[in-house]
Amino acid sequence: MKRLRLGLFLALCAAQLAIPLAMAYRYERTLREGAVYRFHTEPFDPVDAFRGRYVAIRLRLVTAPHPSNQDYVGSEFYVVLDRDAQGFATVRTLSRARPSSGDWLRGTVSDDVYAEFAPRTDEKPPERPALLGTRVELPYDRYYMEEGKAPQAEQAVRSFQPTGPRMDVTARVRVRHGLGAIEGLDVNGVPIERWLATVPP
Amino acid sequence: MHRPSVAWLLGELPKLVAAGVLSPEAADAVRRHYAAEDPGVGKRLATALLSVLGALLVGGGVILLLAHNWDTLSRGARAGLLTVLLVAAQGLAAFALLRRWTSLAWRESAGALQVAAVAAAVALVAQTYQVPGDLTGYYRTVLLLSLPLVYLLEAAAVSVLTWAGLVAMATTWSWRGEPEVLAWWGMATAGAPFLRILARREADSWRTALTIVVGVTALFVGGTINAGRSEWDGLWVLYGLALLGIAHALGSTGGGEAWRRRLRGPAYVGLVVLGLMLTFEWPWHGIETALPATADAGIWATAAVAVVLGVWATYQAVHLLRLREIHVGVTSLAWVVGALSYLLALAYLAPAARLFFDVWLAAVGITGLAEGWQSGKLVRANAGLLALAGLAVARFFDADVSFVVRGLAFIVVGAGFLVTNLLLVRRSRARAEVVS
Repeated sequence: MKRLRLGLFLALCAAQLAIPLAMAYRYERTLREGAVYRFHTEPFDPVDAFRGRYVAIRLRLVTAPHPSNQDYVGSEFYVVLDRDAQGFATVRTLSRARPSSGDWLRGTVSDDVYAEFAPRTDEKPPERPALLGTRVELPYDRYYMEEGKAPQAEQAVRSFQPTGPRMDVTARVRVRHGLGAIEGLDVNGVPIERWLATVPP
Repeated sequence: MHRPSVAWLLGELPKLVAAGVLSPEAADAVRRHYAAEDPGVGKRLATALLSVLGALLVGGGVILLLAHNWDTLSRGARAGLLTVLLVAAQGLAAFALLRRWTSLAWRESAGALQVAAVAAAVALVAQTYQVPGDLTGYYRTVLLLSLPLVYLLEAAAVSVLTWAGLVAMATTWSWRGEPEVLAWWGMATAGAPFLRILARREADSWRTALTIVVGVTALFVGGTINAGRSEWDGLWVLYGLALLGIAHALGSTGGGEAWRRRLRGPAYVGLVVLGLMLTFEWPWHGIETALPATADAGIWATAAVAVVLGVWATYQAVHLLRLREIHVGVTSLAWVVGALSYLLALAYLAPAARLFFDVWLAAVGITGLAEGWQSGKLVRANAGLLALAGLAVARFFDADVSFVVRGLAFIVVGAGFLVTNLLLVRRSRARAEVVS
């Protein structure tokens, strides 16, 4: 009985070590060997009681409007990625079946994205904003930073946005075999950790 | 004193009481005798509690230190830290398993530390590699890697931690439903047998009572959240009444073991509070649609647990009524009352549904007061008074009467409490004098 208990205990210990280390290995390999894609992001800062502070991000990925939107919204797809002229990630195809080639991630089709509302100066009523496409939600939603830096980053980004110079927050994501690993978050092309050092307190 | 023999004797007491060899009073006297004879019990309890507290503080401290997310630590250093942390905790647990099996303090604290180490390791990987996923997934991973420790180390502290983790997991529910709810029930089902093992082996120990009360509380909170967030209107009522009903029935049967005594009180208070809520109309509104069209396996699992526990509670309640334990029997019948009220609500008769609970609470209160009065049991009489007072207050809340009338009614209820207790104390004193 004691041998059986010990055997099971050792098996459990092996699983306790293997699962986090296997996770680390898969992400490490993706970070080393995966193709880099850049995404526009919108940051804000929450706190996760166990895993520390992070900047919560929403990667912006938009696909062409789909004619049968009703069956489409909320569905999970394999998203084969491509890059636009500026090097930002775009959707090449969406498929229900696992792609055999290309860099892909799993994503959920969500709401429609419209062009920004442009106020008109003449007397005519405002036109309805143009439909740009449908948003594809990717599960990569957080960027962990050192305690203190995440709220600082969020505050700095927010304070810049309304009237100051344009802030372009982008995420670098490595993609390999359907796994995405966030390599870094850039503000105006500079890694956020370095950019923070240039921001006055 | 030879502890294993005493433990065996104490373990046999419920069977002896059930077989009629010993009266419950005689069994209690035996328990008191050995508790008084063993001065080491308090010391061992303090040592075990302090060890667990120490392990949890160390583990919590490590988690908080890692949560700082040190920029200076490379990814390789973090992986090394993770491995060292886990292996150290596993080594301590292995030492407890192989060399300190008889020491409760060692097993409990090493188990608690190992759970904290697993939680810290998974968190460290998540923050290092920006792993996506919500808290539900995090809790699920940590719980799956920790649950077997409950049985391998036979550690109540690990069991308590996993029940707390299950409650925390239930509070993080998104609306994705089925897989999360099924995973929750799967893990709850895996953790429940340990409560039975403790109840059979150490019926009168502090850790059994604590673990069972925590486990039942977690099952109530988590299961009610599962039921409440499902699309099946009113399932939470049926589940909550079933779980509290069986907890109350189990707390009222058997040979008066410590875990039963500790369980009965919270279950009774829970039933009275839930019963009072159900005497209002709002819980019954919206139960006018029966089964949801989109019921998934998660909802069916919750409903199945509610029915199984409800039938079990009813069986135990009938058994108690046959033994002329009217108050506890009527109280444990809560699920039947809930099921009948649910059917009435489905037939658009919400006012009648709430009326069932008015009648049930009145019956619980009157039988408790009457039995407490007859037997001179202050606790039972006050339990009955609590139900009656709660019912009176609830009805005065929704009655269209003036503040003067409400005030007078409150004074009458309060005076009733005081006078009944005074009379009961006098009566028991008079009885004691007659006996002496």
